[in-house]
Amino acid sequence: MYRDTRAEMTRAEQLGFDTVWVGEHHFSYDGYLPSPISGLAFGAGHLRSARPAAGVLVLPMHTPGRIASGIAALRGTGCPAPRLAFGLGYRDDELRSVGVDPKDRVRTYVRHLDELLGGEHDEELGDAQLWLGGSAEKMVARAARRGLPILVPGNNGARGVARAVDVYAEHLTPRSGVRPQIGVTKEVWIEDDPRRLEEVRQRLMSMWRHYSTYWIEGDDNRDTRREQVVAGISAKAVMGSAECVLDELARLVEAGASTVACRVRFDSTDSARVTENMHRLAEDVLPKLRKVAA
Amino acid sequence: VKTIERVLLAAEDTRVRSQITLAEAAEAAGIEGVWVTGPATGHGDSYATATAAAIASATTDLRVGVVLGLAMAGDVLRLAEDLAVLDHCSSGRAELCLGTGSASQVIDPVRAELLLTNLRTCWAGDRQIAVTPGPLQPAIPAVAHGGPVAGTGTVVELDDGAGTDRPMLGAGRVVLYVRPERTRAVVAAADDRATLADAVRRLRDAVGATGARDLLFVVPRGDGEHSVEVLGAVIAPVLRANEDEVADLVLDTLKFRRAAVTFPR
Repeated sequence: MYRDTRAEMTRAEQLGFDTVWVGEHHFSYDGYLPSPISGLAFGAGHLRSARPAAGVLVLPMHTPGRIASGIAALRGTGCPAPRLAFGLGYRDDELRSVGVDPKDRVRTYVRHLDELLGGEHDEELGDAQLWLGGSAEKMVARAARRGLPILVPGNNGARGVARAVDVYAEHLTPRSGVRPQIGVTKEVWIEDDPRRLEEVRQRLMSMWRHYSTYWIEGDDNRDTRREQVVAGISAKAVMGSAECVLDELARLVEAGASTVACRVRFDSTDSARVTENMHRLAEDVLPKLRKVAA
Repeated sequence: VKTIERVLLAAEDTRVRSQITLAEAAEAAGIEGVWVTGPATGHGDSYATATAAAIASATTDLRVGVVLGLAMAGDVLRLAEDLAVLDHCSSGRAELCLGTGSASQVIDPVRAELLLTNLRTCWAGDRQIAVTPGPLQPAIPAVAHGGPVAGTGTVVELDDGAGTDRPMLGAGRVVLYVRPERTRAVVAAADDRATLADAVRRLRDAVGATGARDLLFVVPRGDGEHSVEVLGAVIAPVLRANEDEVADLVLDTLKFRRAAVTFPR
């Protein structure tokens, strides 16, 4: 799987994508990717124009020194400037595994963030871009106050992006050398055949069915509530014909997103289908989306 | 006299780019493995597996060892995950060397043993939370610098007595560690038949005295490319050779360099 990922990173670059993102998962049934900076470093040395990125990296789980050391290693591969988007983490078991009380996750997050920005790790961080991840008003404001870009999650549509833009603008304190910007992640799949499209949608729902387990608390109507959450998130995925996908992504850009991180690998998705999707996205959508952004 | 099985390298210059370059040269020179450190920060934190993963990506057969000071290994779960991911990225080439983080201190065997036990527990899935993925290898080989530590190999240093005054060090694999200044002397010896013969004899004596199966040369800063070339083409083959072949190999370094190209590994 890791070798496949490296090949996909290189393929994404060859297809003209600007950034290659990986996420962070722990104790997951599918076994990916609990050591995101190591995983990125494995693929980054082959990148010449696309920047390697981790988003989101669960900041309370890593000491600032460890992150700085990892970024230094990444930069040492000669890859373009890496990007890291820091998330709070939503799984209590992950946070507890490193001794962080979930109630303290915000405090730990802010402490780690401010240490990273405090100057003592500047040599290791170099030209790396630090982003924050999340769409809660407090998180968007936190990013803006520090002059850092923000990456909002895929359960936000154009309205959610526009809302983040407003909050961001209200709190923005520009940071020297950093371009304030808003990105959004989106599950994206181009497919014209309705039957194949439905297969992919079911796979996506199965993935969210697994992950949603971690943030649905209590036993009352747990399955029903989970299905509601899964349906809601999956409905926000951008899926369909190339025209349909372009239209929806363009709306995000018009709402103020300067970066769209397209999630093209869902759990257990066949690699050949992922490759096909990446090609179609690059050929049928990316050039037109760039024109919209320009 | 017992011969060594593997020649390993580590870089005195721990900058990431230098370590990657060294690893690429080592693989091209037929060296069996590299050990990787840092970069450590002022706080002693390290994400050494990121450097190791970059090296795994740049090489195909080289064993990739991660050198870790016990002080940096406080978070066992993270370390278990890092090493397991490295093992997958490298297709099962990961190794672990535990030290104190300081070349002059002897490792605390109790702490090292506890760390290794905890790592293995994480990988075995015996915890309430299983580390996924587990390593690709059934067990990631581990050695301890200055051991002995149960269940690991041991790193001992080549000293002026060529290691001959050291007792055999318990069970497990022994790695003979050659500091950069000694590596520089060994490499320089390859220019002269008599000094090469003497250097090789000392190394082989040390190997025999310690029972070492691996020899780790720390490549001095600034000498990387030349050192790796000489270690791979001249020193490593003669260290791997049987006793009766050594004299012939050392007879003429030029002849030896040619012979090294086709020398059976």
